[in-house]
Amino acid sequence: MKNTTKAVLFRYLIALMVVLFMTFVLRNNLKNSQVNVFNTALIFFFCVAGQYVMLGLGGMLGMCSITFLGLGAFLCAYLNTRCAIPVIPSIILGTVASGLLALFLGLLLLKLDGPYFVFGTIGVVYIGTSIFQNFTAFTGGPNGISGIGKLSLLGYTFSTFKSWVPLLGTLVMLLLFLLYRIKNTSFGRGLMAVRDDETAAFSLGINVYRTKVIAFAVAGLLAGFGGGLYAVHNGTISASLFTFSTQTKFIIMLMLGGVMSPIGAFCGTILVNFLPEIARFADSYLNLLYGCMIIVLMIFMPMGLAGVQKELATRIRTASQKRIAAKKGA
Amino acid sequence: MSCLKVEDLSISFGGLAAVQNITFEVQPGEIMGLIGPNGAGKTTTLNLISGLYKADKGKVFLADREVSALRSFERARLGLGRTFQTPHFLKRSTVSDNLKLGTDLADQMGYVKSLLGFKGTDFKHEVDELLEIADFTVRWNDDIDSLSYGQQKRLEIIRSMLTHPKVMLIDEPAAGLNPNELEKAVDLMRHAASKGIGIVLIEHKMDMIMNVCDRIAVLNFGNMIAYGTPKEISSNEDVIVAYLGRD
Repeated sequence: MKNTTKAVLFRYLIALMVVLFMTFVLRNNLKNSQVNVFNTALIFFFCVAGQYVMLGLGGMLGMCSITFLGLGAFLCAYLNTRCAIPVIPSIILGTVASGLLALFLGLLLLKLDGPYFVFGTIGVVYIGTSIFQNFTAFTGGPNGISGIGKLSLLGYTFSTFKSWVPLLGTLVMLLLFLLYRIKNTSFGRGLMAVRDDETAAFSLGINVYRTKVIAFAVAGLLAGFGGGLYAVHNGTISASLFTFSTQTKFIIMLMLGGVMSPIGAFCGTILVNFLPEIARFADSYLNLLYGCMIIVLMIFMPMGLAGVQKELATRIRTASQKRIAAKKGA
Repeated sequence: MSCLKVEDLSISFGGLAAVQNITFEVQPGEIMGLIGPNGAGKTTTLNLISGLYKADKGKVFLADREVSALRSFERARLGLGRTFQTPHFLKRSTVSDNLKLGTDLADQMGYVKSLLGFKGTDFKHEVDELLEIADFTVRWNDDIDSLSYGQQKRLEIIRSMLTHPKVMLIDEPAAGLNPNELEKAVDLMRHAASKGIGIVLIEHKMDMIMNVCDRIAVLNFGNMIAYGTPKEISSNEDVIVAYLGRD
C-alpha cells in the first residue's frame, strides 16, 4: 500500500475516532447546556473555517462573515416558518443566498486593498446588523423568529441537542478534510501566493482578483451553511447574535488556534466558546479577558496554538538530531 | 518566427522617460542579454514585457500573438516566465508548494478540477533533472526559508522552467551567487535555451554576458544605444563610453 493511501486512511480513522469520542464520551458526560455550547462551537466553526480560507490562506481580513451567518440563519428560518419549505431545502437556499451575497460583495470590495477592504467589510456588518434588527417582516425584529422545524434525516429526527452531536461532529470532520484538501490544490496555492507575494502570483499566471473573490464567496457559503444549521439547531434565532462583537470573537477563535492551521482553528473555536463556561467566576469580566487574550496572543504567539505546537516540534526534532549527531561523533 | 518581439516600447514616470522606443526580437533557443548602467531601464523593460507595468506606447508580441493589452497573469499563461532580482517565493510555505505553483501554471487545470482531485502532470522526473543541473537537492516539506539565497535564486529559475514557458525573463541571476552557484545557474539557462526557450537576461557580470548571450541590447537613460553580437557590442564606441569603459 502506498504511503499516501496509508496516510489518508489514517486521517479517516482519526476522524472516525473523534466523532465516536464526541458521540459516546463527551455527549454523555456533558450537561445539556454544555452540549448546546459544544454544538454551537461546532456550528460556528463553519464561519471560522471561512475566515481561515480568507485570512489563513488568502491573507484577507474580512470582517463580515457574521453577516453571511445571519443571512443563512434568517433566510432558512423565514423559508421554513413563513413559506413552509422543509428544513433541508431551507438550509440549502440560505447557504446559496449567502454565497451569492458574498460573491457580489467580493466583486465590489476586493477592488480595495488592505485596510480599505477591512473597513468595507466592517460597513457590511453594520448594514447587516441594522437589517436584521429592523427589517421586521423578514427577521421578526427584536423578537427574532421561533418555531423553526426540526431536522429529519432518513427517518431520524434530531430533537435534542445531544442528538445533534454525531451529525455536527461528522460535518466538522468533513469540513476539516475539505480545508486540508483546499490547501493542497491549485486554488489553495494560488491563495497562498496572493497572501505572500502578489507579484509572484501574477508572474505565475494567477488571477489575483478572481482568486480573492472565489475565497470570499467560499467563506460566505460556509458561513451561510453554518447559519442554517444554527437556526435549525436552536429552533429560534434573534438579531442580537449577528453583531460586530460576535465577528471579533470569530477572529479570536481563529487567531487563538492558529490562523494558518485548520485543526488549530478548530481547537480555538472550541476553547473560546467554552471560555464563558470555564470562567464563570469572572462572568462580568469576559470582555476584559477577550481583550487581554488578543494582546497576549499577538505578542507571544502570533501563529496561535498551532504555531506553538510547530515551534515545540521543531525544537524537539532539532535537539534529537543534535543528540544523534553527538552520539555518532563520540 | 521569433518567440518574443518588442516594438517601440516606451514608458514615462512623471516627467522621467524611463524607457524610450525599445525594439528587439528574441528567437527560440536564443539568449539575449540586456545590459546597461543602474537606472538604464532594464528591469522596467522586463516589467513592461511581463505586463507588471502598462506601456505608454509600443507593442509586445509573444510568438506572433500581440499581448500588449493583456494583463500580467494572462501573459504568464501564454508562456512568459519571469524571475526577479530578489527571489519571489511564498515565504511561509514549503519548497513543494512553491514548485507546484510552477507546475500548476504548466497544467492550467483550473480550480474546480484541482479541487475535485484531478491529478496534474507528474513533473517529478523533470524537477529531478533540473535539480541535478542546479546541483543541489531539496526536501519537499522543508520551509522555503531553509534554503540558502543561492539555492533560492536557482530554484526560482527552475520554477520558471517548470511553467514550460516560450520565453523567460531572467533578472540578475548572478547577484549574490558564488562562482560555483553561478556556473550552475548558467547551466540551467543553457538547458532552457536548448529546449527552445528564448531568454532575456539582465546581468551586470560582463564575462557571463559575453560568454552566454547570442545577442546583446545595451540601454542607457532608457534608450537602446546598441544591439548586436557580443563581439560587436564589446567594440562599440557608444557602449564603451556609456557602460563598459576602456579598461
